[in-house]
Parts: sequence; structure tokens; C-alpha cells
Amino acid sequence: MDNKVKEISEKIDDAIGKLNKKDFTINFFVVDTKGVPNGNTRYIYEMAKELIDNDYNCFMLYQQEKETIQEKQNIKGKDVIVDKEVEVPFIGVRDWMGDEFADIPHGSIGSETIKVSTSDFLIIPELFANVMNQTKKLPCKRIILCQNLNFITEFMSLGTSWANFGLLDVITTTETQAEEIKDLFPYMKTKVINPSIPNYFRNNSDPKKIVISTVIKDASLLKKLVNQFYWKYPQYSWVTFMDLRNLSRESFANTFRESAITVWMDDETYFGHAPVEAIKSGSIVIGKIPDVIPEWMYSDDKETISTNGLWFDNFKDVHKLIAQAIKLWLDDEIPEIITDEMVKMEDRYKVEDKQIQLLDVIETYIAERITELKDIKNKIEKK
Amino acid sequence: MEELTIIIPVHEYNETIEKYLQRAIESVEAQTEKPSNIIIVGPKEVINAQRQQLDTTSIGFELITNEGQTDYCSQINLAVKYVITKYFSILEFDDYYQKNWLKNVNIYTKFKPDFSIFLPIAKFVNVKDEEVCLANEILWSLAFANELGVIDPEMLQSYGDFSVPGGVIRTDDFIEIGGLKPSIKLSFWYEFLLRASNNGVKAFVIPKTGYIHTIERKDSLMDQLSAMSEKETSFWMELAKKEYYFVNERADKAKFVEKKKLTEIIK
Repeated sequence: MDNKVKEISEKIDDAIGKLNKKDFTINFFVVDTKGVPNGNTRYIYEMAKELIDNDYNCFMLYQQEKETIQEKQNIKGKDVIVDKEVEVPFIGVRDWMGDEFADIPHGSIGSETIKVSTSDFLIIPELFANVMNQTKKLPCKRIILCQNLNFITEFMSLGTSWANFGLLDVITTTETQAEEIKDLFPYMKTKVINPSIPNYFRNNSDPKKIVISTVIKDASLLKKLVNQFYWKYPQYSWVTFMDLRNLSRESFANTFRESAITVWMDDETYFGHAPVEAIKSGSIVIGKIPDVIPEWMYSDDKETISTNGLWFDNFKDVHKLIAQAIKLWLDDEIPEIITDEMVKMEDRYKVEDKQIQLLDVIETYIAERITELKDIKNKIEKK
Repeated sequence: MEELTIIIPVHEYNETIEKYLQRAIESVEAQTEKPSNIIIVGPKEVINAQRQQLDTTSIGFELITNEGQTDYCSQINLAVKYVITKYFSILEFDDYYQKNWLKNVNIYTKFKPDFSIFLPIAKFVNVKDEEVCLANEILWSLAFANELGVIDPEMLQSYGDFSVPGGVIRTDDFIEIGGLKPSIKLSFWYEFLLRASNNGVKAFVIPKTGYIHTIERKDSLMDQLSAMSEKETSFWMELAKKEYYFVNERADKAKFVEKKKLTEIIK
């Protein structure tokens, strides 16, 4: 065995040793939410926090944003305005996720102090094709995290695929999405970690208020919904709509717990945290069926749509459904077929279940990485 | 709802009233949580007729013959003297409860223990039992109420159109603030709510349509009141705002002045 091979073999042994001792780092690429709540980013931070709580080292990587400012400078005795490029401070998630998440170590991906080694992992969200490309020469194991398949085409140039970036592993959030990924990229190895809903999304014995929470990203659609409802049903013009956008998650939970009804619309989601959170909080959800139907929206037979909410396809139907739900709620006659299915949701997407799934997936990746490194070592030594 | 007595005031008796009264009593019996008892207060003929019916009901009854003043307010004041439960509710004989109303009352009285008056969102129906409109629902408008569902003193000064029958009132607070004032027509409930608020008695609208209130019935109290002129209506509303400072009915002299004014308005 020549020295070069020996050196590589030793490095591989070192990496395997670190993997066995949990002496490695799982890096997560995140985008700066600038204090604005974002479900996809939250999912990543929750993963990192859970792993830290289980003695893994995690690090949050972000792309340093820069902006151009104008600055007055004295050049040859004259005051002139010049453009200057400055770094935009990273704000993160402190305002809406709290210190325990914001205090996870962070660093810019371009920083010289940040090193990744063979035993490390880098988790890259599906949106960041540029990061997938920029990091393809890194020695670490890179894994895509795909929460929403709709995002993958956003920054991916035509003709390229994940394989072009040397990426063959993907973590996703639902079986449905895993199947779709397989359909697009048959070579990808998929693993599923279901989202979890924190335990504070729960019903309590306090009676609810006749208030309608709304979770609708598009502000103009929300305005249209409320205005049209009041025009069509003036007898319910006293019913208050509460816009939950940009609230902290705890505020979400409190509002869901108090609201009799929640209206939700998000065509592009693959999961839909908000309606699950609302149902678990005992709020009757009136929701538009997304383009891809989330798994929790199906009945036990996995074919028909569940009655755990009032679902519609056409926006025109939403006002009538809201009016019906208000009447039923006021009359205390919400059908059991709905309330029973809502109760069933209480046991789904528990934090404890996600913890088990997450640790299982990470341990599998570690084992696979060890096998992969051993194979490389064998191949090198045989040569 | 064992801490509750239902009061049914009946001022006269005939076949139509008997039919309505039966429906009202049946709605009490159909409650998912039953009250402690029912008090029917009315003239002798009502009470005698009711005595025949009692064996068929499962809830305790008390029949009170109303001698002397037989107006609505006096009947209620009299019946409340016989109430031994923490709360009472007035069920007008031509109205009825929704089946879960008392269950909801139980939930909300526990949820808001410092409140003493709990009103329903009342559903007003015509004699054919067709829905006409809702009442008290306005308290659940964020643009209207400082706190959703709570009747506050500020609001009471500008809005007085509340429907109290079907609501639940703490017995001791009702007695302490003087009960209803029979001399005030039309706005007696409004005056009562103003007085309650002035005495620190808190009121809340339970966001459930627990009470079905029949309107447009010929010869009903509501029918008589709705025939009032705008001037007369305003007179009674203004009178309520003057009278609520006084726990008991004002002295005869003051009442005489007000009555004189009313006579002039009616002219």
C-alpha cells in the first residue's frame, strides 16, 4: 500500500470513527426569514433542535446576503456619493421561534472558518439548486430536504436534475411526495420524516368563540373572501374574521383554540400544517383541497376524502360552507361525522412520533455513510 | 343544570296559549341537561289548568297564582321570590329552548364565574316557526364590542336592543339590584341591564342560538309594543336611561311626571 492510499485509508477510518462516536456535524442550509414565520424553515429548525437534544452537533448555514448602500466619500477634496456593498445582518428566527432555536450555532456558507469534513452531513432544502451546485465538491454527505415538490423547478435550470449536482438522497415529508419524487427521479433514495405538530396545538375545555381564523397567504384573496361573504350573508356580518398571517406559532395555537371555525387555502402545499393544527385545536376547518391532496385529508380507506373538515374545490363554494358552518355551530349541531374524525386527528403527527422517525432516518444515513466509506476504502486498497 | 329554575310567566289562558305552553315545557324536558324545576306563574285559571297536566312531566313544578298585578314584570318579580337555585331563566310561553341550551349555559357559567347574566343569541321566528332574524348576536362583532360577547356600560348607552328571555340570571344579583320595574313599558329589560351594569353586575352573550323567540303573534306583548309610535318608543328608552340609577321604582311623584310626559307624547 503506497503512502497516498494509506493516507486516504486513514482519513476514511478517522471519518468512520467520528461517525460511530457522533463526532461530526449535521449542517442545515437555511434562509434568513428576517423574523417572518415560515413553516418550511420551522421544520428545519425543529429537526436541528431535536438532533441537538439527542447529542448530535448541528450547524445552521446561510448564504450571506449583501446590499448596496450609498456612502459619501471625500475623493481628491470633493464629496462624492459612491455605491458600497455591505453585508446584511442575519436576523433568523428569534422573534418567532424563540431563543432555543435562534441560539443554535449559525454561520455564513462562504465563511473561511467553516469547514466540512467527510464525516459531516449537509442538508439542503429543495429550493436551493444553486447551493446544491456550489457544494458539489464538498467531501461531506449531502442530502436534499424536499418539503414541497413544487419548489424544485424554481431555481433549477432546464435540463439539469439532482443527479447533476451529485445528489442521490432526499428526505421528504409524506409518502405521497416520496412517490412523486421517485416518479421524477427514479434513481433518488427517499426517506420520509412526517411533520409534527407541537403538543400545544390541542383542544381544551374552554368554550370557543364564534370567530373565524383565516390562514390564506394571498392578502387579496383573503380580502375577497371576507368581503364577498359579508355581501352574500349580511345576517352574519357580525362574525369576526381573524387573519393569522405573521403570528407566532404560540399565538396561532391560542387563536385556533379559541376560534370555532378556520378557513384555509393553500393550493401548493404538500402537507398543510395550519389545518392540521386547527383541527387538533378543535376548530372546524373549511379548506380548499390543494393540488396534491395531503395524506391526512384521506379517510381510513385511503381513497375517499375524510370528513375531518369541510372541503371544497371551487372558491365559489366557500361562502356557503362558512355560512352553513356558522349556523351549525351556533345551533350546536355540528354533525358527529365531522367531530369524530376531528378527534381522530389528535393522535396523528405527534412530536414523539417525528422524533422516532427523525432519529431512525439519521441513524440509517450514518450506517449508510459508514458502508459507503468502507466500500471506498476497500476499492482504493484493492487497486 | 341543577342550579337553575325555569320561570314561565303566563298572563292569560286559552287553547292557543295552552298549545304554545306545552311546546315550551316540552323544550325544557328535551334538554340534554335538565333544570332543577319549573315555576309557572299566572292567574288562577292558568294555574288550575296546569295542575291537570303535571303528572306527565319529569321535572319538578311549582305553580304560583299571581294575585294583584299580573303584568309581565310583576309576574317575574313574584316568581323569583320562590327561586331557591343559584340561577333562573325566563321562558316565555310562546317560545322554546334549543335542546342543548342548558348544557351550554352550564359550560359558560363555569367558564365565566364572575358574570351574572348570560344571554343567548336568540333566534326570532314568526308564528310559522320560520326564522326571521337573530338577536344579541351583535355583541360578537369586533367592531361593536370592546370584548367579544361582553355587554359593557359604554355600549349600553348607545345600544339597547337586547333580548333577555331565555337568558340566565343569578338569582341573588337580580334581587339585590331590585328586579324588574313594572312601571316601565317596552324598555324594562334595557333598564334592567343598565341598572345591572351600573351596579357592577356583568353580562355576557353566549354564542349559541339557544332560544327561539316567537314574534308577530297577535295579541302578544311584543305585538302591542311594536304598535308604539317612534316618539313613544324613544320616550321609554330615554326613561330607562333616567331610571336605572335607582334600584327601586322611583317615588310616585317622579313617576307621575314621567307619565304626564308620556300622555303628552301619545296625544
